[in-house]
Parts: sequence; structure tokens; C-alpha cells
Amino acid sequence: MTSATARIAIAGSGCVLPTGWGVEGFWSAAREGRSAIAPLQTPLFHSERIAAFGQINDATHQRSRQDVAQNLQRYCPPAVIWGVSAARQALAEAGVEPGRDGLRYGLYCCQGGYTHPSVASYGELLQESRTDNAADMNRLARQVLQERALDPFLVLKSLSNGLLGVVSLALKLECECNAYMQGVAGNLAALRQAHSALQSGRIDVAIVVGAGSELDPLALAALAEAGVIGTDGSRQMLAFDRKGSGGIAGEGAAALVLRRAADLPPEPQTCLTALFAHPRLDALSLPDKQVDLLISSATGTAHKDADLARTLARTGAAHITSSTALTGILSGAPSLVDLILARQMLQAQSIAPIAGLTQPVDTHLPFVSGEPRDAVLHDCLVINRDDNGFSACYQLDLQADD
Amino acid sequence: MRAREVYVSGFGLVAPMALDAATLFERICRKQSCVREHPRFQALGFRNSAAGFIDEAQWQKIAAGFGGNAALHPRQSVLAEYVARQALQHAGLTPADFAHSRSGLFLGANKYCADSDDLQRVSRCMDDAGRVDLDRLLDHPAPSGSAFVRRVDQQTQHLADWLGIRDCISTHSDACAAGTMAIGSAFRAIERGEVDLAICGAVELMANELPYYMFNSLGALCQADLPAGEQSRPFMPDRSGFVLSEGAALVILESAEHARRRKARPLGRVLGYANVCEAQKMTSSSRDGSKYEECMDAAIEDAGLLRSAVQHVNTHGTSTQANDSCEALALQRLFGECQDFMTFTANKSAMGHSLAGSGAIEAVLSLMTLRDGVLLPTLNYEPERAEYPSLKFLSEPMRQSINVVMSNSFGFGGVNSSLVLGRA
Repeated sequence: MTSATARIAIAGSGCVLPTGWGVEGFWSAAREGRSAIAPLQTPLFHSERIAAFGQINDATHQRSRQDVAQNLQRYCPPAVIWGVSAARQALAEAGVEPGRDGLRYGLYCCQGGYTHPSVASYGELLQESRTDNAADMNRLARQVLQERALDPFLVLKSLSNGLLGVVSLALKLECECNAYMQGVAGNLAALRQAHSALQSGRIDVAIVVGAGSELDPLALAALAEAGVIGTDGSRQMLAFDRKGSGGIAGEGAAALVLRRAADLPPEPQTCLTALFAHPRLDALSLPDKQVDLLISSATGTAHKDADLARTLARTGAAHITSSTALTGILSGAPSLVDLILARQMLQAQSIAPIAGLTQPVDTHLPFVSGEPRDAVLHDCLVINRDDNGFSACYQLDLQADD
Repeated sequence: MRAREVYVSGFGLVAPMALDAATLFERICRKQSCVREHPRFQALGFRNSAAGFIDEAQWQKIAAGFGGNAALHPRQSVLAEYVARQALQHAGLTPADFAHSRSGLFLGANKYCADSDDLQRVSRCMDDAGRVDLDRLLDHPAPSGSAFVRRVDQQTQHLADWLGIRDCISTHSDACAAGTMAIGSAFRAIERGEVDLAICGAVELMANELPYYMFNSLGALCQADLPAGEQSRPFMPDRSGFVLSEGAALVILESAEHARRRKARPLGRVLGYANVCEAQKMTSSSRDGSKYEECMDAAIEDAGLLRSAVQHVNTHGTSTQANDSCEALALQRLFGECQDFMTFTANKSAMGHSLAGSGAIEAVLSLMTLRDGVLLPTLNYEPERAEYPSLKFLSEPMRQSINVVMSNSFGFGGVNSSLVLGRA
């Protein structure tokens, strides 16, 4: 079936997150309410006020590197390596092999990254160009332009479509493609394009990948100045909690393989049935039917989460949870991660709690806290809001084997 | 004929030394380059400070045309709204028309770079080992009146909010192909009936020193000892790299039915589109041009046309050795004997390369060629020294009525895109 009514199923998923390499690790952490946010550790900078981060540890990064050929790694910032690894996981679960299975593919990527290039790429040059209290920019220019002191591949590491380029090279994908940038808006655009391409019949398999990191002093400063992350030195992000004092940033990658449900074996499938978006959360379209489960991003700031909760109340969801406190606020794959979580919960008929939640911002809403909760789950909404207000809503259901 | 024809009903544009499309078109017809010495690059002591850039006099006019206090918004949002107002006025539309239609916004833009001021601010917070004191950096914020000043999709969010567009909203970041891919995505969304009305194109502000450093370090920028206006020399044997530039263009697309219903006069049509990642290399295509050829061929097939129907090609033509060579070979392979009846142009010879912006700007120039029957010259092109003489690049403007133009954009990362545009 190739029409606007074709149901689009999640056939595979993968992730590289602060919770570790792979969906199993993420799902375990979610069920246990175990946040992977940890004290921020980097040789690039130090801070008392931004003291925690949802960080990919070295073991997870090294595992991911095994999925990227050595000659491609020179083009890759860490997030792109995680993205390739997540895509390979998703393809493996979906049981498809680009170039070998006769299927037509589409590749849709989203990168996060508030600033570029990272300050790290200029670190030595800035040191060498320093005078009494600041770098001499004319001297830095001379070093770069006349002494060729900059990494020649920096422009490739900084590309907005670097993830797409490297994934396509790693998987030898010659196909329809689109690259998008940043957060919820980028994830929504990639998913919408993938959904549309599958429904139109142009492709048979859509690979949707998101990856990003804000582990950079300029990026974190920008997020702090915009009020997205807290600056009180908190080491825990509390989602929808009255004690929440601010957001904490995170990093990572996630990937989904989408297919037409009709092309898959006759067994229960998690289908992405609708996508909505709006530049303002309060005007976001929401389905008029009550859902069993709602997964929402959170800001980690009590009064903002209380505002957000008023929108969530409109859904009439039977249960509400959130993944943000597990990973921190993600810039590359926020919606993809929540879709993975939704699929896990629909398949397991079990709801992961909101990590660390003890005093909900709204006691009338059915936030899930403490232990995982078993429930009959037929459908799920995911609501995500970007730090600039852009909002998206995804509707999923578990299609029974019929 | 397609189930849903897609009309172009308006466009807007800002380029270096041009605050609207007519001015840019006229400048190129007069063979006046938009590339000049960038004062910021000169102040930093660059040996070659050639660039296309929107100067402060232009910014003042752009800010004056903004609906709110421009100082409180990122420059990319201010520019996007300025160009969008032109496009809406051209199409005879108001923001309410978008809010009350099934509409979409498809906007190309790549990451915004930090600049020297940012680096200097960071350097003031470094210790002797080069480690940054982030708390000190937080105490000295950037002197900007707006949040998210470098958030890459901020202009998209601003336009969507201003126009009341919901659901179909995307920031395309496909490097140099992003503008074309944004227009192509809008075309597909209308063709499939997902929306009836779309605003699409690109906004790119890259003419600053950090992109210059990065592209130069890769060897992609022209460093020839030539006057600024002569440095971009697409398809000439002595080409030696592109000239960094910036700019924005937006196009209004609508279904034929939507246009008829509101009695809009079409300015042109989008006939076909293809976008592919080619999985060859990060910075260049197959040397024989076969991958670019496949992309162009797919766009012509999507339009339901024969190759012989394409009369004019607005090439990607960056003025780098590798890209122009691949594109020229692809054009020769694809069009064969049809080349005798075709003409070609390379607008970057006049404007420089505004990355995402270039595809959208070149689409607008192509639509003007179709509408006005004027073929644009390629600046700095000398037919007698042509490396690819079978490709007839014009060195002077020419009046000729044509029906079909192809516009190409090929990007780093191996992303290729071609649009087929038709006369109304």
C-alpha cells in the first residue's frame, strides 16, 4: 500500500546515550529511574555553576567507534560517530541491509550543535595568540591563513550535514536524503519527511538519525544565557518536580528505521500515526482522543514545567512520564529518544517512571514516579518542546497482530 | 500532467549589493560583480579579503523593514522576515493567508559560526593550560539583545510564528544544496497534497572569518591575486576556488488549484526535482560526473520531460577545479548533442557562493529568466579560452524566450539536488 493512509511502523531502533550503548541499556535505566547525568568532566573547561552533564562515557564512545571505518573518523566529531553506530543498531534490528536487499532507502538526519566549530578546535591557536589578557585575532588569522595551523578537515567536521554524509558513506547509501538541524524542530522535520516518503511509495525503508552535543563552553554559555540550563551547580535534573531548579544539557544519538507496516511480518508493530508541530506550545494541535500514555520532555525548572503541565493536562492521558532526567536535554535526538522509549513501553506494556520525581508540579496529573508501572497500553503521545518554543507532538499506537 | 501542478507566485531576495531580485538581475546583466573587499577581513589582515557580504547600509534598510524591534532578534530572523515580506507582496498574499491555509515553511540554513569576538571572549577566560573558566565566561555574556542568536533554526521559528504556519516546518541544512532542497521539499509537499501553499528558500549568513578559515584550510577558497570581482571564475581553466558570500531568497509555491481559486498570476512552475546522497566522498563527486548526471537525469524524469526539453541550465558552478569539472562532465554526458541547442549560466561568478542561499537565489534568477526571456551572462567567462567549449556559457546577456530551466546545487557531504523549472 502506498497512499496517505499507509501505516508507518518503527521496524528498528538504536541509540548511543549517556545511559550507554544500545536500546537495552537505555530501557534498563529508564525502568530503574536511573539518571545518567553525572558530574561534568572535560579537559576543555571547568565550572562550579554548570556542574553536571548527560555525557557519553569513554567506553561507550570507544564501542561506537568500532562501527565507523578508520578513514571516515577523520571527518567525524564524536556525535557523528555515535550517529553511525545508532543507525547500524537500528538497521540490524530491522533486519535490512542497504545495497543487498533490493529495497529503496531514504536517509533523514538531524544534527544538534548550538555553535560551531567547537572552541576545542581553536584551543591551541588561542593559547598561542594570547597577549596579556586576550588572544590577538590578527595573529590568529596569520597562523591560520599563512601557517596552515588549522585542521584541514575542520570544515567537514563542522558541516550541518556531516552526519548525513558520513552515514551515507559508512552504509554506502545512494538514495534520497535530507539533513536538518537542531533539536525537536530538526527531529520533527526528519520524521515528517521520512513518513511522507514512505507513504508516497518513493522509498521502502527510511533511516532517521539524530546526533548532537553541546559539550562546548560557548554552547553551554549560550544555553545558560537563554535560561535553558541552570547555573546553580545542581547535579541532578528534576523533571516536573517542584524542586526543579534548572535544566542540564546532555549529548548522544538515536536512530529509527521506519517501514510501511504492510511490508512487515504480521506481528504487533508500533506505528507512528500522526505528527503535529507549531512554533508555540500553547497552539500545538493535540488529538481529541484520550491516550493511554504520554511522554513529554521537561525543562527541569519547576515553574516552566508547571506551565508545560497545563498543556499536558489537555491530552487527558492516563499516565505521564518523561525521559529528560535520564539523559539531560538533548540537542540532536530528543524526539527520536522519546519515540524509542514509547515503543519500548508499548511493547512491554510497562511504564518507566520519571527519574528522581518526588514532588510533582501538579498533583492532579498522573505522573509516574517510583517503580515502573504495568498497564494496558494501546497508544501513546510524545510531546516535545524546544528551548525556543518550537513544539511537536507525535502519536503512536501498537498495532495488534491481525 | 501531474495530479497537482505547482505554481510559483512570488519571490523575494537579498544578496550582496542588492536588496531585491530585480536589482540583482540587473547587476548581473550589466556584468557588475557583487564581490568586493570585506572590511572585517581587511581589518584582520587577510591577504585576500574578497567576499560577497550584506553591508551595514543594507542592514539598516533591512532592519527598518522589520515588523518589530530588530535589535531584539537575531539577524537571520530579521533578514528572513524582510525577504518574506517581499515574497508575500509579490504574490499578493498576507500572513493570514498562510494561517488560514494548509501551508508549509521550508527554509535552508546551515549552522551559524562563532566569530572572532566569541573566540576573544573565550580566550579572556582561559588559564595558562588553555582550560576555560566557564563561570567567568558566564559573567561576561555576549553583547547581544536576543537569545538564541546563533540557533540555526531561529529564523524558521520566527517566520512560522509570524505567518501562523503549523506542522510542515523544516530547517534544511544540506550544506550548499540546502536552498534547492528546501524548494524541492516544498514542491513535493504540494504535489502530494500535504499542503496547498508554501514559502521556501534559504537564509544564509556565512561571510565571516571562521567559515573563511575553515574553507580556506581545506583549499576550497580562491586565493588568486586578482581583483575581488574577478576571483570567481566558474568553468574557466584558471579557476582556483570559490568566493565566500551570503544572502537569502524565498519563493512562494502553491498548487495550481489554490492559485486559480485566489486568481493569482503564476510567475513560473516547478516541474521536477531530485535529491540524492551519492556516497562517494565528503568533498567531491565521482570524477567522471556520473553521480551529478544521475541526479539531473532523475529530476528531468520526475518532470516527465525528455532531456531535449531543457533549454538552459543554471549550474552550481562554484569555481573550484573539482566541482566545475564534475559538473561540466555531467552536463556533457547527460545532454550530449542537445548541448548545441542549450545555454548555461553560473551566477556565482557575480555573487560568490552563499552556500544554502545560493540555490534559492539561483532558483529566483532562473524564474526571472523564464519570465523575462533574458539569459544571464557568466562573469569572468572568456569563451575563447573555454575548457568545456561545448557548454555555451554566455559572456553577455541574451534575449531569448525559453520554457524550461534546470537549476543545480551540489553540496559537501555528497548531497546533490536539481530542480526543473518551467515558464508559467
